[in-house]
Amino acid sequence: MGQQTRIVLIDDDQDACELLKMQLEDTGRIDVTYTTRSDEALSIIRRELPDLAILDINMPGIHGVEIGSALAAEPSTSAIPILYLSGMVTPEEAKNLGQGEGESPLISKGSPVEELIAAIDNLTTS
Amino acid sequence: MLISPSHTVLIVDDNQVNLNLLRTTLQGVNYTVIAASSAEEALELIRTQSPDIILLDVMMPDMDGFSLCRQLKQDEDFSDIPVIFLTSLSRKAHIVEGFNAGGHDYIVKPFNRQELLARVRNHIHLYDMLLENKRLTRLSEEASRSKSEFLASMSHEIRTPLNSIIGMAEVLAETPLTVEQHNYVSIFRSAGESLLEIINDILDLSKIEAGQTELESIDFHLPTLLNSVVSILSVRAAEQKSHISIHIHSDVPHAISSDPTRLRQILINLVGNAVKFTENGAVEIAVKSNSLSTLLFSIKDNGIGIPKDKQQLIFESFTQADSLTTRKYGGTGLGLTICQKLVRIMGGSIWLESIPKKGSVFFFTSRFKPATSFPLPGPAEPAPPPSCEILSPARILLVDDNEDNRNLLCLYLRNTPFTIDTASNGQEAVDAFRNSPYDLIFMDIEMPIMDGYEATRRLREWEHDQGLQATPIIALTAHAFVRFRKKCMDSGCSDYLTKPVRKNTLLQTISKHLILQKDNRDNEEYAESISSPPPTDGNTKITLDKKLKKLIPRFLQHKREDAVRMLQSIKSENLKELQKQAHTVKGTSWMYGFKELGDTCLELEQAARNSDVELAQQLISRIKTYLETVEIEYVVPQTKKSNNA
Repeated sequence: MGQQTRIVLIDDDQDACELLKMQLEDTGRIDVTYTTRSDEALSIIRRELPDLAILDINMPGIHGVEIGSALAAEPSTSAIPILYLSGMVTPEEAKNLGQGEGESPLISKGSPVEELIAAIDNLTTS
Repeated sequence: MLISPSHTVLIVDDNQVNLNLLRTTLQGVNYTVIAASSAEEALELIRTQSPDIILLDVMMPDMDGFSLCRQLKQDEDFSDIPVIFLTSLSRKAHIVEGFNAGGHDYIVKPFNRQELLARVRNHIHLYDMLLENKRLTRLSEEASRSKSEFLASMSHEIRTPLNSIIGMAEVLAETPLTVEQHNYVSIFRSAGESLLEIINDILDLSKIEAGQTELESIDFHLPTLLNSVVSILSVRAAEQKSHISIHIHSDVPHAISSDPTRLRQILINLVGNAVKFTENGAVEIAVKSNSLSTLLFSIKDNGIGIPKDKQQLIFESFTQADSLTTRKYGGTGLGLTICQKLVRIMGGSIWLESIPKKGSVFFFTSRFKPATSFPLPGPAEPAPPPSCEILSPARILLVDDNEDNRNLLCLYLRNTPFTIDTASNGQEAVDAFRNSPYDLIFMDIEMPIMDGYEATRRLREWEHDQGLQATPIIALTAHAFVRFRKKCMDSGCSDYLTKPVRKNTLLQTISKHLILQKDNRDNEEYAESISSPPPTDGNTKITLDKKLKKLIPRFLQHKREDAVRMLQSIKSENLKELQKQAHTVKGTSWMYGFKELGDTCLELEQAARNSDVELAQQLISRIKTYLETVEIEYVVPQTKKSNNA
C-alpha cells in the first residue's frame, strides 16, 4: 500500500458525503473525513491538515469559496489544495468554465466520479 | 499582638521527649495544646477538636507526616488548617516535598523557640483572617440571594396588578369612546407602560449590580443585529419624522463573537434615546473597528443636545439633563446608567460629545473576538401581528387563579374564532384536559392546589400515555427572571410569556403555535399519503453500480422527505427556499446517478427562480411519483472497476 491521500470533504448534504466517501475510499488509496456542518469546516481542516479539501460551493449560509479563501489566508492551511464541488453547473458547463491560473478546479456534481478522482490525483501529485 | 487563649495547637510527634518540649514551649504563651503520637491519633483529634494549627513530625511509624498532610488537604472540612512540618529532615528535596504535600511552613529540628512561636503566631493569624473572610463571603452571598428573592417577588407582585391595569386599558380603548374619554384612557395606558418600563429597568440594574449578569460569547452576524435594532425603533422614528441609518465601516468583520443580547440592549437604549430627542432629523449608527479586538460604535442625532456641565451627570441613576426634559420626554433616567454598566462589564467605555440645540454623539467601545463559525444573516423584521382572518377556530384552555387575569385574556380573545374555557388551578386544568383535549393551553405558574409546573408535567405524562401529540402549553408568569423561563421549559411548556401580556403578543403566540401544530399534522398526513406508492404508470428504470446498493434506500428516503419540505416551501410561498432545496437535491441526485431526477430538480430550481408556482407544483409531483416508482437494477460495472483499481 502506498501512501494514503487524506481528504476532508465539506458538503451540507449527508447523502452526498456518504456517497463520495464510499466512492473515493473504494479506490483503496484515499481516506475521507467529512462534515455536513459548514461551521465546523475550518476547525476540522485546521485539525486534520489533509492533503486536499473538497468544498461544496453552495451551502446554507456560506459559500464554499469563503471557506476556501479563509484557508488560503491562514499560513497553516494555505498550502492545502482545494477542489470545489458544485451542483450549480451541469457537467458540460463545468468543463467549459475557464479556470484561471492557480485557481482551484470546479467539478460538477453531475460529473462521473472518475473525473473527480483524476482531478484529485492531479492536485495531490503535483 | 494579643494572643487569644482559645487557639488550639495540635502537635503530632511519635517521640515523647519532643512532645513534652513542644507542649511546654507553647503552653508558656497560653495556647491550648493537644498532642498525638501517631497519624491515626492525630486524625481523631482533628475531627473532634478542630485545632487552629498543626505542628507535624514527618517520620512516624504507620503513616508519615507528608501523607497525613496530603490526606487533610483533600478533606474540605480540614484543608484550611495550617500545617507546619517540624522535622529533622533537612534536605532540600524533603522541604520541597513538604510544601508540595500542602504544608504551610517547614521548620528543621532542632528548632529555635522564638522562631517557632513567631511562625505559629503568624499562621494562626492568617488562618483567623481566612475564616473571617469566608464568613463574610457567606454572609454577603446570603444577603445578595435574599435581595434577589426580594426583587423577584416584588417584581411579581407589581406585575400582576399592572397586568390588569394595562390590559384593561387596552381593551377599554377598543370600545366606543368619546374623544375626551379616549384621551383619558390613553393617558392611563401610557402611565402603565412607563411604570412597567421602570420596573424592568430597576430589575435590570439590580441584576447588574448584584453581579448576576453573566456575559455570553456567541457568534452572530453584526449587520443583522443592527438591522433588528433599527427595525424595532423605526416606528418610533417615523412618528418623530426622523430617519435611522447604519454605516458599517469596511474594516468591521460581519461575523463576530460577543454577547449579542447585551449589545442589542445597549444599542436599543442609545438609539432609542437618540430617536426620542430628535424630531424631523436623522439618527446615524456607525461602527468602526478600533483595533483587532475592539469595535467603536457611535450614535449620532441632531436632537436637543446636552449642556457640557450635565454630560457626566446623565450616566447617574434617575438623572436627565434637567427635570423639564423628564416632563417633556418621559423615561426613567435609568437607561444610560444601565448602558454604562453593561459597557463596562463588556470591557469597554462609553462617552459623549454634544452641543446644545445641535445634537449629541454617544460613543461606546466593545471588545469582540472573531467568530469561529459562520453565523448567517437573518431576517431583521419582527413577525407582523397576525390578522384575525388568518386565525382558524381552535379550543383554548386558560388556566389562571386570578379572576382579573382570566377576564382580561378572555376579553383579548373575544373577537377571535377561538373558544375559550377557563380553569383556576392546575388540578382543574388537568381534569378538564383529560375530559376533552384542547388545541392550546395558557398556563399560569403560581397557583394554589396545583401549580403550573406540576400541571404541565402531568398533562405531558397523560398525552404520552394516550399516544397524543404534544399540545402547545404556554406558560404565563409575572416573573421576569431567566431561571423561571428555564424551569417552565424544563417542566414541559412549549413557550413562555411574561405578564403583562399584550394583546398582540398573545395573538402572535397563539397563531405561531397553532400553525406549527397544523404543519406537523399536515406533514404526517402527507408522509402517510406518500408511503403507499401510487400505481406505476411510467417505466422509470435505472441502472446503478452495485456498490451503491446499501446507500440507496436511505438516499430515497431522504429525497422523499426533501419532497415534503419542498411542498411546504410552496405552501408558504417561500420560493427562495424552494430554489435552494431543489438545488441541493439536484446535485446529490446527479452524484448518485439519478440523472432524470437531477434534471427535474434543475427545472424546478429554474421554475422557482422564475416564480412559476404552477410549474413548480407539477415538477414536485413528478419528483414524488418518480421517487415512488423508480426501479433500480444493480450491476457490477466492468469498466469502472478497472479504472478505479
